[in-house]
Amino acid sequence: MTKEYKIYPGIGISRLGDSPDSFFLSPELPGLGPLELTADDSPKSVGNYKDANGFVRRQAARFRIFEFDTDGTGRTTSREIISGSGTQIEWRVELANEKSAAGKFINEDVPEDTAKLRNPDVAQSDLVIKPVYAPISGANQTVTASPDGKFRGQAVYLGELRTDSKGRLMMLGGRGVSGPRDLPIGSGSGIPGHPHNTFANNEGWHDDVADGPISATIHIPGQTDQVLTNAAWVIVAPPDYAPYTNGITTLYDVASFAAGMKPPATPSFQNDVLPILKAAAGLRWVSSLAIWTAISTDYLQLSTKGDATADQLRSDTLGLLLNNVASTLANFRFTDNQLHVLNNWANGNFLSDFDPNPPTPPLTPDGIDRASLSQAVGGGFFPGIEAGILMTSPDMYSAPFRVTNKLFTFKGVPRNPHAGLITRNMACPWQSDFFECEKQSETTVWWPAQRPIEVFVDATAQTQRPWTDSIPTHQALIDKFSKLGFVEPLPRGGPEPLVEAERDPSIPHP
Amino acid sequence: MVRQLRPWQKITWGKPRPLATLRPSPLASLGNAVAGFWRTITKATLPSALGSLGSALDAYGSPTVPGVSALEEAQIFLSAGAEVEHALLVEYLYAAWSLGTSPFADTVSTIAIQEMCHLITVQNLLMFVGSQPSFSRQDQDEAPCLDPFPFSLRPLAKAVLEDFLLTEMPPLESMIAGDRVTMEPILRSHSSQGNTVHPVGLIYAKLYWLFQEDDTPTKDWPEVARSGFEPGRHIGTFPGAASGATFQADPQEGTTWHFGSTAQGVFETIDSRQAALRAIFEIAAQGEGPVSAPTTQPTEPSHFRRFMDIYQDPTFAGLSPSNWPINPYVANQGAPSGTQVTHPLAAALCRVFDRRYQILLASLRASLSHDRTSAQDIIIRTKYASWAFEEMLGSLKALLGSISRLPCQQGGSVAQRAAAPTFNLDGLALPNNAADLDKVLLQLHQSAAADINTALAARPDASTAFTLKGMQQTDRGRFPN
Repeated sequence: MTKEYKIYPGIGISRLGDSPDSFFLSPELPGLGPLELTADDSPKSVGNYKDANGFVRRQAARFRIFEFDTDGTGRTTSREIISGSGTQIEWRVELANEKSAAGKFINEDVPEDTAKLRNPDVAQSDLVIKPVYAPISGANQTVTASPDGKFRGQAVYLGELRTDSKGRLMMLGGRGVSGPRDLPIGSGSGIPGHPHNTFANNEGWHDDVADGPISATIHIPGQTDQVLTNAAWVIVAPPDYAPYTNGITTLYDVASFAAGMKPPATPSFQNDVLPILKAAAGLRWVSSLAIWTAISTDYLQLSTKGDATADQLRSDTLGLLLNNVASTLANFRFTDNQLHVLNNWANGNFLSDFDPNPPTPPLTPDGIDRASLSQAVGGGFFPGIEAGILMTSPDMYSAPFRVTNKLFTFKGVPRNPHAGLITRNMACPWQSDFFECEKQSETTVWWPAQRPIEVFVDATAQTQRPWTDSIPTHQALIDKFSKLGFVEPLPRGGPEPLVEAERDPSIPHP
Repeated sequence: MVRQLRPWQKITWGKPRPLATLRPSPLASLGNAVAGFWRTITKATLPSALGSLGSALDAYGSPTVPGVSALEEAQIFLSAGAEVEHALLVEYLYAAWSLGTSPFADTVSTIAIQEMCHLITVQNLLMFVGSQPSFSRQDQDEAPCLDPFPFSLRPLAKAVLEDFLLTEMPPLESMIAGDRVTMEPILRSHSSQGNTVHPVGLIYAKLYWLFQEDDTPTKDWPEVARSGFEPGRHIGTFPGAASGATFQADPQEGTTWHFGSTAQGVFETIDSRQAALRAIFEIAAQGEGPVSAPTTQPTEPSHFRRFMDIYQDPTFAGLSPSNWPINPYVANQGAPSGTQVTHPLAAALCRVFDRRYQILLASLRASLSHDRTSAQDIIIRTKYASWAFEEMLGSLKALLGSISRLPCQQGGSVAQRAAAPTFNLDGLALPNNAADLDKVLLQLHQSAAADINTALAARPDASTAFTLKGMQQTDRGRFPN
């Protein structure tokens, strides 16, 4: 009998927000979206994404320990390990923001130009924001950084560690603060005599996203302590303003392919095909382009085999996905696994297992990994939202969804896994990218699943309005990121329609 | 009627300067008269004052336009440069697209994007010297005599890549040993066929000289001053200096020119002699130049470096031969050495593609005909620039997919030969007057409407039909009446 312990999710995602104390949890069950923290661990969808005062609630990434017990026959069972009855879990987190110290983001081919630093005239040590967190253990605890991370001598809050009632780690991130205010920002701008800024590289700026490894020491009475060093990772990302729309390719798709996971020989319509179809059709709520409503939502027909009409519909839908959708989303690619799934489905090789009302899935380790990364976009890595092109590197993973501890090379640049690695090449500050990169052209868009473009302002609206109405500049987005609306289901609980809610009246739609 | 010479046709290449101190190279000893035109020059034998630029000028001669002022000479070189940049970016883009999802496609696409930036910066330089922007293409010359290589749409293969390398190469002596070992047989083979490739970088070197204030070597590119160009031949004043603040494309013009997506291509506004010198130098260094001086981008791989990395990559040799055609054309476009696209739908889509490409060029030209400091003009300027990017990033990309999924020949298969975009210009000649450009754009859209209807009548699949109808909707939005 052997026991193995792992932290789940392998890669968790927190999100920024300016609410002092109110937060919700990152998705843990596939298909359910973010969750409220409940005393009995029952899954409850988030009610509001802002607190009572209109501040954006942060999203906490919650980490758990699972024990895998393999018996003599090779059968493995798993159970969660929680604090209590003598069992203690001590968590350790490293977090850093290295964006300002990094080389410039150029494109997917050159995600970091080490010869062109974002801030060449400033010492690197002054640019890396790296707070220090003491370990945390026990129930309902909070640990804040001591000392705080600093950017050019000024403290920058990157977040705090908390534990829930069962000693699980909850990582909460920063408050969405980017600065300073008085420097040029955005493509083409620049400090006189210095190179031009771009959407991704703005000299002198910082923000408060971050990333880093998670470690744990598990003490179970009667057993040797288990030390899991850098066994999981957290990414603190910008808010997801449309949490019920997903990228057509997600970070889960990207990371699973990069780690060598293979698609099923016979894909399941419900589990493999439907998420892609729903993601594509779901973008209608965050973009007004006609392609999204051209994708059929007749899932019963789309999951039917052996019928000429159904066969033609599958073929037409495949064409729309592979050609029109792929050319509408900038820098988009399906993974090879997704192409396998879609091509097999179109050819009639799939399980016709569509269920319009699936039950709430049970909590499983694999499901936690899938839920965590499915919320994040897996394309448009220019540079992306939560993470960038680095996530496509097979060498970054020691196992599926486990960031390696070993040095690896990507795009010709050595990468040493450490706190700040994953987010260092993301746009600095993130709001610059958010402001500029809604559309690449009138017919090509970036990531509407996270950063809406046009939204329905209420359940009766017939046309969509620009999500960034009343946000005319980069600085305005920095100042008012928390005033923007979230695209949520109305009525609550129903899957659709998804309309804008919780928008602050100070930034109206004209 | 006096035939107007195209810019390229006015350029002559001066006699190579004697290299009395050189020993004949092994290449020359081959006894091949054309191979003797190339000299493998070693640092031990070359007078140090010449440097690598000098060796290239010795090999090819010095580009000159006789009988004109320095300003006029610069205007001609820049027009020629624009035509070449346009041609190269199309050729590189076609080559990149032919690679499908190969990792090399991204690299070649990056080079094409950088050439797009060079094209825009050359437009700014043209306006700076008082000329009009030019979106003509090298093959529109009746008798192009100084092409890097004859304009041709070719899928990327070893021989094609060798042409790209020859176009972008710095002098042999400035190469690292591994690159020199790679290039020498390519040069030998090319010479033995009598093909002379004139590096465009020498044009930029001459331009740099013309733009210098005097004969004093500059900090950036001192070799130019020591390369034997005519002393004192410099431009005095720049008639279009004010255009830097008005008509030129400006990276700071909000997101109009997608500056952030330029893949580090050289894209600058030209408002002074110094800005012009810097831009010319950077373009030369980034792509074509025989530039040995350090640039502001010391580790930015040049186009030569990027092409060489592909050429030397073991997986490149293992790539399956492309199923893309060479020089595709549709009926009445003519290309004796090309491949006619005879599949009816593919041919119809190629016509749509050609028209969208022409709309893209006309939109760019129209955008630059409006003053960005005028409150009224900036709206029109931005509108036309957005049309250009819609075509570039939307229409052309979508049509590429639709076309390449079809067989080239009626009754054929994609596996045998896929159809591919034809990039035909139909003799497009863009006027300089803003009002005339508006008319050209209307006419192009009217022609596009007919092309789209022809393609729709050829019964495309759902995906292509969606693309075509989307274009119809876009065009109705542009010209509601």
